[in-house]
Amino acid sequence: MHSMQLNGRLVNFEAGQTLLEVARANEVPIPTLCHHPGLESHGGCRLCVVEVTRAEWDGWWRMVSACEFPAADDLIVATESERLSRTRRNVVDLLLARCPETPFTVALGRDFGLAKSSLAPRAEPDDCILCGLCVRVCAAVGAHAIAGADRGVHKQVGPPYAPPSFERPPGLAPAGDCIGCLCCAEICPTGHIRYENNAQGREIWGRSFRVVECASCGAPLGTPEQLDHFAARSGLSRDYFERCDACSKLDTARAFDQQVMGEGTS
Amino acid sequence: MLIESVAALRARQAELSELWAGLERRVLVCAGTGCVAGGALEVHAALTQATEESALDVSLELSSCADRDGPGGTLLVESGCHGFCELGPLVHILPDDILYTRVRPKDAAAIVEKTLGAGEVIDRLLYKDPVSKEPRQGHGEMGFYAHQKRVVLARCGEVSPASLDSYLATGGFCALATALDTLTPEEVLREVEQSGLRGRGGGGFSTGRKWRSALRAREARPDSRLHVICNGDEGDPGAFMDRSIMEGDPFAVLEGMALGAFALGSTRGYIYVRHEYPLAVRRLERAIAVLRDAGLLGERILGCDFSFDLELTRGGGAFVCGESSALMRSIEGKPGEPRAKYTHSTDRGLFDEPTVLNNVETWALVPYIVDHGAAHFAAIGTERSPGTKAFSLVGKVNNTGLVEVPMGTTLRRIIFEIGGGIQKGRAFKAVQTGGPSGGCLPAEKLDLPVDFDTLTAAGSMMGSGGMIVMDERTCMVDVAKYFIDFLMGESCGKCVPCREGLGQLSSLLAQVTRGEGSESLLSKVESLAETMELASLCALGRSAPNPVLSTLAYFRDEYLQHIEKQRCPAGVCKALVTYRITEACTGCEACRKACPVGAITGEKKVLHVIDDALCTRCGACEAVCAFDAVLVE
Amino acid sequence: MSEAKRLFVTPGRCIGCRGCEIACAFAHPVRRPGGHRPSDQPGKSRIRTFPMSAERHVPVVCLQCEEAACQAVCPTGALQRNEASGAIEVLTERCVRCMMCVVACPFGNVHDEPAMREIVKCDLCGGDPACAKFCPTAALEYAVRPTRNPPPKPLHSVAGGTRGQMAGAVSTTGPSVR
Ligand SMILES: Cc1cc2nc3c(=O)[nH]c(=O)nc-3n(C[C@H](O)[C@H](O)[C@H](O)COP(=O)(O)O)c2cc1C
Ligand code: SF4
Ligand code: SF4
Ligand code: SF4
Ligand code: SF4
Ligand code: FES
Repeated sequence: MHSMQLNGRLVNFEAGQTLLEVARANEVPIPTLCHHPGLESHGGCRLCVVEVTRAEWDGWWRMVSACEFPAADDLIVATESERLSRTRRNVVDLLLARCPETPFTVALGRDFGLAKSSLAPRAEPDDCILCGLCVRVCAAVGAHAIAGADRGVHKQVGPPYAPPSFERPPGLAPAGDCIGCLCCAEICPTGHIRYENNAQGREIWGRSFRVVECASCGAPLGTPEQLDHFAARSGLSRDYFERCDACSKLDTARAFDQQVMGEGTS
Repeated sequence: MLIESVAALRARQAELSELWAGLERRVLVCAGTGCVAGGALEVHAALTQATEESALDVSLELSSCADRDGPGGTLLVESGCHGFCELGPLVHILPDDILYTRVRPKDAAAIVEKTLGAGEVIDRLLYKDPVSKEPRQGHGEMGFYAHQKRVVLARCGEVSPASLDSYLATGGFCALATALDTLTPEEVLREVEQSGLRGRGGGGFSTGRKWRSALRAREARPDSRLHVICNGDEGDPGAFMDRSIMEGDPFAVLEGMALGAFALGSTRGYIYVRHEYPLAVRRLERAIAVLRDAGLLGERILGCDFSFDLELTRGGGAFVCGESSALMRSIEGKPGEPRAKYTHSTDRGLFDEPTVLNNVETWALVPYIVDHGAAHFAAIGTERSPGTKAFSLVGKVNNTGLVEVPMGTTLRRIIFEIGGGIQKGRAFKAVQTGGPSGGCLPAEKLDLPVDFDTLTAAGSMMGSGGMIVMDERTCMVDVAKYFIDFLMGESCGKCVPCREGLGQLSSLLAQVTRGEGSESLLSKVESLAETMELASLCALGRSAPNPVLSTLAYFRDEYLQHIEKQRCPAGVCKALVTYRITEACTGCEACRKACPVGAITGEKKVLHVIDDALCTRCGACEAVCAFDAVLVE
Repeated sequence: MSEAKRLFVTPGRCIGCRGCEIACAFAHPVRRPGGHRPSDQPGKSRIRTFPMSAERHVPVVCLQCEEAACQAVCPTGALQRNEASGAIEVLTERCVRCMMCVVACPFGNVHDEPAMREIVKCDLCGGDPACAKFCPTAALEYAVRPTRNPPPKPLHSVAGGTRGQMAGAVSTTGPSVR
């Protein structure tokens, strides 16, 4: 068993855990933004910063992102300090200046005592805080359809060469690899990624998708691209993915019933 | 030509050194990027033709010197950068030490006839001292060269970078030969450790320690491979040390990497070169091919039990790709974004395997260290920063170019003796070191002996060795804004403090240049700077506030003048200056004609007047006025 | 087989009262997205009883397959077996609601719950299944009992096969599941 010091308390941890995981296991709160337990750490928002030091570091310390920093024996970690509050507040202030109108950042600002940003608001703000969750979820699903394009303040997420909006300038390629699964829109904390489910099917990233219906009841299942992708990715047969959960359940009931009947008659 | 054994290599080295020593003369036409742009290749062609037409014994390759009438004669080659790019194309003639500057193809006949034929010096092609205007014959008479100590640049400008023969003739591959037949890998590693070599790419991290930890990491994971990488990204604006080495002495970089691979048991190396460096890419690719043919790269090098090969990757051109974790991602074919380095890349670097990444200059120093011994190297420079350092000296100095000095040389010596002082006799104001995220040091710091630690302590850094000199007409707020804007464009955009912080710093500094804001603006700047330094993901963001913090530390008053008095003392910030014509005006009309917006009125021989409402502060009038009558205030 | 308790379903005893469904719904109250405190509103039941005829009813609940399709497709590792209860549980904080598991389960036992923005499935109530406690006829039992019917291996049994063969796999495995 490994142990380290967390806010003055000795805590145990398992090899491979991050500071964030250890803190959460010990009910020590650390604010996070770009972290998602199911996805690879990103380290982009820097809200989860904490201070680490070691006895032998002789007073030297460093600020690290808890979502990435591996827990280690005899580490001394502080999750709260004057300096950390200042830093986190500045980070939130910067995000609020980036997205001054976005409900999510406004609420975040309020949590950190900022009614509005003390900095210059972005000229033509959109709702994206560049947390990178959408890009990572898309990669996790295996589609790799979106990525960050450009650098610095000009960075944007979206399918290659496309801005994240329906009003795609003419001439830009549609989102090639997108399977229309909506995971990106689902995970986006600010609602920046727009999509639409309508009678024709589904639209996201400027691309339209048909929606496949359950072979027995007609309930919408997903896009054909999505189901093909699921099948290809899982190695399961495509017809694993043709019925909705309710109809599969009914099928299961029927199969059970058949068997019981069979046993009863024999 | 395949060299089959260490003994064969040694024999070849001896033979070539003898040829080299027997040369009567060497004519070196600089074929660095700067001189090539100025027409150096045409100069070389013209010289070749002129020598062919003459009766002189001139060869274009070292090996063909022997075919002629016995050894001796003249070797005419294109060389790497001589460092004094400003005056190119350069032709250097040795051993006479005659340096011809701004040579044009039409000068070739005269050079061949007079200098090579009759031993005369052509005065009009010589360098003129900026102060005394006296001609200077060669390096020995020029402060620019006389105060340098060339170790890593020793061959740049002395040999043909394309010629393995010249490399071998000048001691090349002696170190690898020694390593292969007399040293163990551990001994090579210990040599590097004991030399005290620190990485030349920016951080000044101990190279020996880096190698040792990678080796330990690999021993702990016996199934893993160890990779060696050369960082030739060099994204700093105005820096060209690494480029000059890659272009001028590519074999040294490759030999250094082979030595590292030998010490570390690596079989695979990568060189990452910025794609804006096509000449460096070509020279390195060629050098790699030549070494493969010679059996100095590939399977069983020199017939020994050591195999090592190299791959060249072209960088995507983003500044941040020079950062180690971004660079490794980029080699892996992923987006060049940095990752938190909470696990060292010596442990998990390229492909998650132990990796040693070093800078071009660092690698190129390794053969020198193995060859001359750790003690010899450690005796150069200062105790904690041994060796020499190459700098690219640019800005408002008389002599700009590539210089190499022992660590511990003072800024004053570099700027005033090597650099020849400030242009147009103006006053020195500051020197910016360390690349875009370095700091600006004022005149009080001129006597600072330059090494890794002194520069950091003074609020700047060594970086990769950029040095930009500024004179009294430079506005430090404007300078800070320039670098912040550069970094803003180069931030990868992954983390909030760097991406958003640089944008905000830029707009805050813009306010200062417009004379807006108050002292509280400066505390906002300082608070943001602290957050960026502490919380940014990679070193780009963490060091990005340096240009502001160092100028605030040394030139705070200049900021305050902007904010409180709406004055730009250097007369740079357009919103804060006015252009006025003084009594010195002779009414020559030059400024009136030069003004693009027609803001100047005046008759011939009558004092001219600038209409401030129309004036766009473009500075055209000031530039053309021969009587210094245009005043900027 | 192990001594672990399992959930046994005996369709012949089911009278179709749907008490199990109500028990399940109340055992898994609605959680509002973002909020962590459960409400007292009943959630979606993970078990369902289907009438086959006037007197025959079949309860269907997750079989906690040995080689589970849902677990195999999950890209984020959000489906993990709780070794103590034997249930495959959804670690909601890891789930990205990609729906792969929902459509991949050949038995229809993984559900999306749009109101809660969560994926839900039977978790054996952490080792004390409410449905079994409420079942008046012991059609659902949580017990240790030797069985000839080990949990199904849908991936294994139909490797490369189709869902048609799948139905066969179900019937040979039988309704008694852990
Ligand atoms: C933003 C950024 C840019 C960098 N660019 C370069 C570069 O162009 N060349 C270089 O050698 N090192 C560069 N570095 C430093 C490298 O990350 C790394 O420390 C260095 O290459 C290690 O080699 P060394 O130990 O030989 O110095 C950069 C670092 C940062 C943070
Ligand atoms: S909807 Fe498209 S872009 Fe979004 S996660 Fe799914 S595949 Fe990726
Ligand atoms: S679109 Fe949403 S999820 Fe994607 S980076 Fe922007 S804020 Fe994050
Ligand atoms: S500090 Fe800047 S360059 Fe480095 S990861 Fe953050 S945004 Fe990218
Ligand atoms: S919906 Fe959630 S639990 Fe199901 S496969 Fe996707 S991530 Fe895994
Ligand atoms: S949560 Fe750790 S950096 Fe965003």
